[in-house]
Amino acid sequence: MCETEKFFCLGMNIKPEYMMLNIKASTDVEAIKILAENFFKAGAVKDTFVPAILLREKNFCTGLQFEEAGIAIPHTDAIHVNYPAVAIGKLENPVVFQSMGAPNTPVKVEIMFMLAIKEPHKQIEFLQLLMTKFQEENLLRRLMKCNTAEELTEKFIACLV
Amino acid sequence: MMKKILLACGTGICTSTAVSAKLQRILDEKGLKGQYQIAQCKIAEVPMKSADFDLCIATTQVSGDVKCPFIMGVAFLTGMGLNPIIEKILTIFETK
Repeated sequence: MCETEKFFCLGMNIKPEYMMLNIKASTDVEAIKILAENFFKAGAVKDTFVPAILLREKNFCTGLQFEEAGIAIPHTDAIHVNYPAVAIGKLENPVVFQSMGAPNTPVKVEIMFMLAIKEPHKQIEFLQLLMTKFQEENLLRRLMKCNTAEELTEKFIACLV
Repeated sequence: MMKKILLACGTGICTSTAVSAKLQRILDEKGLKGQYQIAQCKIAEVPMKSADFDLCIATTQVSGDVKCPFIMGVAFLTGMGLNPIIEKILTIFETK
C-alpha cells in the first residue's frame, strides 16, 4: 500500500509516478496502453489490467466531451487493481476516442484520467466529484497547462480538496 | 404517482452512480422528492428489467429492446446538453 497522506485523496492514490505528459499516440488503444503500462510499472494495477482496460474501452467507450476539452476516463473491473489510484495522461496531439453512450461519435481527447477502482462504492464519490469539477471550474485547462508530473499531481489534488 | 427510474452503465456501479447523484439532486430541486424510485443495473440487464420501469437512463448504448422510455444520460456527466434532457424527464412525471 502507499497511502502516504500527501498523495492520498478521497480514497485514491494520486502520485507523480502515475502521470504522463506528452504521450505520443495516434489511436485510443495506443494511448490507453502507454498510460496503463506506466500504471502497472508503478504497482497500482495487475498485469491483467492492460488487456482488461483495452477490452472494456472497446465495448464501453469512455470519451466525454466537456466544454473545455475532450477527455477519456478508461476504467475496468476491480479484480485487475492492486489499490485505488488515478493516472493522468496528457496527449501530445489529440487522439480520437469514441464517446461514452454513442460509439459512433468521435471525441478529440486531450487528456485521459485512468481510474484504478478497487472498491466501487467507495471510489464512486471520487468520480462524482471529478465530473462536477470538470463542469464547474477552469480545471481541465489548468491541468493541461502543467509541464511536469509533480505539477500535474499537485494541481489535481489541489482542485479536489 | 411514484415513478420508477432505471439507471444503467457498463458495470452498473460506476458512471450510473454518478448519474444517480446528479439526477436525484435535480429532481428534488424540482419538488419531486418522494415521487420517484431509482434502481441501477448493468446495461446487459436493461432489456430484461426495463418492463417494470417508467424510464431508463443509461450512459452506454443498449443492444436489445428497452421496454420503457429510454434516455441517453451522458449529459449528466458532462453537463453538455443537459437541459433538454431534464425537460424530457419531467414530461415522464406529468404522465399518469
